[in-house]
Amino acid sequence: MNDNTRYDIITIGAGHAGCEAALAGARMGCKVMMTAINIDRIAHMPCNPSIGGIGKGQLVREVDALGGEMGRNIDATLVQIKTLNGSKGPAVQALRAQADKRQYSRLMKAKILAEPKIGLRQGEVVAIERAGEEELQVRTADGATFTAKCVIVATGTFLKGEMVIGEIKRPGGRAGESASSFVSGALQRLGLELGRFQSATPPRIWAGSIDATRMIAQPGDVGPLAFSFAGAGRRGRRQKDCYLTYTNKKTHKVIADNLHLSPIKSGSVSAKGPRYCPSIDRKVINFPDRDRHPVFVEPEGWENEELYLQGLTTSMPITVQEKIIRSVEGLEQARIMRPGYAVAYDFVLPHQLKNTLESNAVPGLFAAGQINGTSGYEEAAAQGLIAGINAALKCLGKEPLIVERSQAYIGVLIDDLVTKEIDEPYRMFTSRAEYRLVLRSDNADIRLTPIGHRLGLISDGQMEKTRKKRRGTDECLAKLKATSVRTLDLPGIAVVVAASPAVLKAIDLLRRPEVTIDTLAKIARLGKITKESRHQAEIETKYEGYIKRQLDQIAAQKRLEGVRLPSVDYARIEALSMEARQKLARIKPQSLGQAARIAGVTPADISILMVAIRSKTPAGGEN
Amino acid sequence: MSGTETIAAISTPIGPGGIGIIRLSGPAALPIVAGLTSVGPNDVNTRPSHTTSLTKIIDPATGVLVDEALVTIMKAPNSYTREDVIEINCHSGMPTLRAVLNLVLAGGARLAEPGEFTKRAFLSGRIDLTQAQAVISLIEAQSDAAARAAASQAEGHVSARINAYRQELIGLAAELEAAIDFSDEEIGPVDAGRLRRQIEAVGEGIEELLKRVEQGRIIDNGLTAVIVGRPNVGKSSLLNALAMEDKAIVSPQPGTTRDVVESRVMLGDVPVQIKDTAGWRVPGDDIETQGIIKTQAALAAADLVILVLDGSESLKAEDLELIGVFKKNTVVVAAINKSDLPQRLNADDLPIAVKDGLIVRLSARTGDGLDSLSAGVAGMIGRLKSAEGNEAIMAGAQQEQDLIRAKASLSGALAASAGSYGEEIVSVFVKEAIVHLGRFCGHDVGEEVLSEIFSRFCIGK
Ligand SMILES: Cc1cc2nc3c(=O)[nH]c(=O)nc-3n(C[C@H](O)[C@H](O)[C@H](O)COP(=O)(O)OP(=O)(O)OC[C@H]3O[C@@H](n4cnc5c(N)ncnc54)[C@H](O)[C@@H]3O)c2cc1C
Ligand SMILES: Nc1nc2c(ncn2[C@@H]2O[C@H](COP(=O)(O)OP(=O)(O)O)[C@@H](O)[C@H]2O)c(=O)[nH]1
Repeated sequence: MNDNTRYDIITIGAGHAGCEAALAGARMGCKVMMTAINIDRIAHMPCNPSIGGIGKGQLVREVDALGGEMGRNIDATLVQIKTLNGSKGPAVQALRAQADKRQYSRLMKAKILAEPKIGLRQGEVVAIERAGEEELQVRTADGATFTAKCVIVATGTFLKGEMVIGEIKRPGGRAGESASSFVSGALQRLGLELGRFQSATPPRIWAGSIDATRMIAQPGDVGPLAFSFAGAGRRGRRQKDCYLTYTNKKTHKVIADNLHLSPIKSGSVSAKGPRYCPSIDRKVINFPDRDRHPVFVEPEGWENEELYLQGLTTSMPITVQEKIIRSVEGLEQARIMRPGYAVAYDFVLPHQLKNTLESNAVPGLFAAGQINGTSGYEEAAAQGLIAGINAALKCLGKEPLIVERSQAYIGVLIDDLVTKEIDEPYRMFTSRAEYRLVLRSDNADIRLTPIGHRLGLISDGQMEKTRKKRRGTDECLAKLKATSVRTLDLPGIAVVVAASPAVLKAIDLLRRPEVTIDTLAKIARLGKITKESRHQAEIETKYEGYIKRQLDQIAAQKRLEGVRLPSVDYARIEALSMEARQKLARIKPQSLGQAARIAGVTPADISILMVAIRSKTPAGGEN
Repeated sequence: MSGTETIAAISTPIGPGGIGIIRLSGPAALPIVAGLTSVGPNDVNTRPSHTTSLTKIIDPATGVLVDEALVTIMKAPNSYTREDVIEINCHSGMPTLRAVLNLVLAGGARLAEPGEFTKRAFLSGRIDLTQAQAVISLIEAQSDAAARAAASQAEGHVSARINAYRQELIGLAAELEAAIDFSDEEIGPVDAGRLRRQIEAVGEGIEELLKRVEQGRIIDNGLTAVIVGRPNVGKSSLLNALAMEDKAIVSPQPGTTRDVVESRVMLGDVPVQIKDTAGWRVPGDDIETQGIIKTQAALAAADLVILVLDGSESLKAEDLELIGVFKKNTVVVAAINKSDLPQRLNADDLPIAVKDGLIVRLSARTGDGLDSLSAGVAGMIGRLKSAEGNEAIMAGAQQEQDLIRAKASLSGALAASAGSYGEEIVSVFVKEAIVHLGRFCGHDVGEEVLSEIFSRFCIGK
């Protein structure tokens, strides 16, 4: 009973992935052990001190709706919050918050410690091995061994981590923490193939050394905003500003003069980094005609200590970093506290995983977070949650949870990881979700909370709140359908709709871009319906036609999804391109739909596959 | 490729000239044909690949000579299907063709399913999907014009153009996506006016391609024409003359009520299905309008009307009455017949509707002017459906649908950009259009849009 060496689940790592995995596992009733190299750095933010953003914000809402911790944790520790894409449609709006990163970490640690089923233990894992049929064994550098039915590897940027500043290279997982040197080998011995990526972070400067008056203040939104569906957000809460400034010709000259020292030029970093987070060196090389690039100066917490320089990512030698920073308006006197650096690390090629994040080769071994080739806290948290849930379901002997692409960004993320060729660190964008209009921040609860509730991660109260929102929305829609409006009764609108019939259904009126739900509230007697439900009804009505188009696409997609691919010998289908043959043979898609999403497999290849699997005498002629 | 069955079929449409080809493909093609042919210097077993030779086809069971045919050998892998292929070019008409096919089947071949040769070519990697449609058209091409269009398409002219449109739309989609996903990084909204202009331009381009597809369909299937004229102007004579001229007449099939006769003739390059209205106006038919309604219906269904007039008489009220039935957009070729007789008909008297079209003086009796009619009709196709200088496109029904859908998606994009919706809606439509165009020639979208974003915009903090 009190055996401190046997667990249901062990999570290796206490980053954003490890935390969600451990919490979900424990809350679903499993006995969990969580290890980390440094347990003072739980849910640490080694890069930007912010959570959310376009695409990522949707992920956080989904994690929250499923019963994860990230949303609540950031709501409680944010120093600024705002809506991005506010002028665009609700499908692409998203929240972003600046975090007090130390508070964020401390609060997450408190939640882990408050969970009786989680044991937290500092220690570097050096071995992962099979132990009998159903168990895996994990050993730490200090000699302890643990066994568990499931092991979730969530080691982030640590595997054979190598930090680079200018010409200097040294082992390290991230600033101030040692690398993890043995897990790569352990995974390879278990049969997993690894790749190598790179990521970099800008320098941090002392908050007392900037001239904020020469920069543009960027305040948060006043409205009551919150990531979590359980929270309400507070109007007019105290927030901190960010600042916007720009690089200039002088900055670009400093960079050009020192390019030979940039790791991208000198070749000291050869692993592939993300295109969407280019260093300032890269930006200057790739866009020579731009005479400025924005720099966002972001607080790292309530205490006025350190500032993060979004836009100035570089791993040039420190003296050059200083010159670059000081060439920028408002930063002339800036004092570096922590230099920018790049980190190269091993990752698991994620096509070796199932949609549950369990590895194909080793039952019970899961991987989640940056180790799967992603980057970003939100992507890590989403994977951690799914891995934790599925590890728990496995321990409990229940059916796994697979989130579909049409259901959530989480589904898009995982499906992309396990099917697409990942050739740079993967970050979420709304454009990756083909069903973007359906997968909105505002309806993540309606989409996912019932699942979270079934799993035991969502309280009855929260579930009831979601049901009420849906019921209210349906009621609102019914009223709008039942109400006829005389255009005369809507003085403001009569002009616009002058050309239309004198009597219209309220719902048809609402489809017009210039009509809002508030205009119709009185006439359609929406008084008793909550603002949230009204808003939901409005969005659904306005998007309806377009959503239908997307649903048609989903249906068409499902047809391909339904075509199972038998074990096909792709090498023998000569009409397939060489690339398609190799990729299909390697990734072994389970359905035609999955095959179609593999990069390098064209629709032409798909039609060939269709013909080939239907054909009685395929080329090569087994009959 | 052992284990693959050998297939055989009659490969050219039975009809014109009664010439047909029996094609075999598969590992047993050579032995099967060898069993039907005489041994000698032209033995199919010893002849090199890609040779044709006049060969006697003999029924092995009876030793009777069935036909003397041109036998062409194309050995694997240098054949259409990458298997051994033999073509037996019989020239003695349908019964012989059937007899030879039966011998081949008796020898161990299986009758091919429709399209199976092309399927094999496709599965062996010999042709790709984008070429397949063109190749199918090419094989089935009934006319030189169709063959030319298909050949040019197989070279990829059409794909290149559609790809260019697709690239332009991918660029647009990238701009729209960047405006959405990187709005917090100094990427402003997309310039609405330019967006609209670009979408419109691509839409117009596709519209033009659709016209050429239509033209391709006509070349492929042939034109339908109606021949009209009052009794005795020489409609039947003209039809017979045209058929004689090209020796291409398929047996005239009398309509069920004997009031419509259809003939297929070649006018220049173009196969034309001509409906003869002889007997529509039965003398004594008291309900005049009934005839007119029938004529109108036939006119509406036709691509072209051949109006026959008797040049040896002046224009009659009945002629004018008939012309009165034509719709504004009816394409008319006036054949002023009997040019061998003294001419009384003054072309200037003809109504505008006819004068705007093509007018040819000819004689069904002597054959004078028939070539002008053929040339005129061939030229008419261009006038009919497309701007000059652009070749027709041979597209399958699916491909035509792809273009139509792409066009519709672009109209949707325009409407959305005019409304007060966001980029996310315009993007739905633009991406749809990219998918449709991509399907026309075979591509994936997702990653391409992202790559485009990164190469064109400076993104990243
Ligand atoms: C230099 C740098 C630059 C970055 N740049 C970006 C960026 O530009 N954009 C972006 O979106 N994100 C960036 N990030 C990424 C972001 O930090 C990660 O995506 C996110 O934190 C990953 O979360 P995780 O849970 O997967 O792993 P991490 O947060 O890295 O956590 C890993 C955990 O595993 C533990 N661990 C590792 N090895 C062992 C072991 N052997 N035994 C026990 N415990 C172990 C560690 O102690 C730690 O707790 C950057 C990170 C770094 C370090
Ligand atoms: N001289 C002359 N007579 C013609 C010519 N074409 C048709 N005819 C004659 O005109 C008469 C009517 O021809 P027919 O083809 O039956 O006319 P239809 O009733 O319009 O089909 C017949 O006697 C034909 O021989 C022509 O080009 N020259």
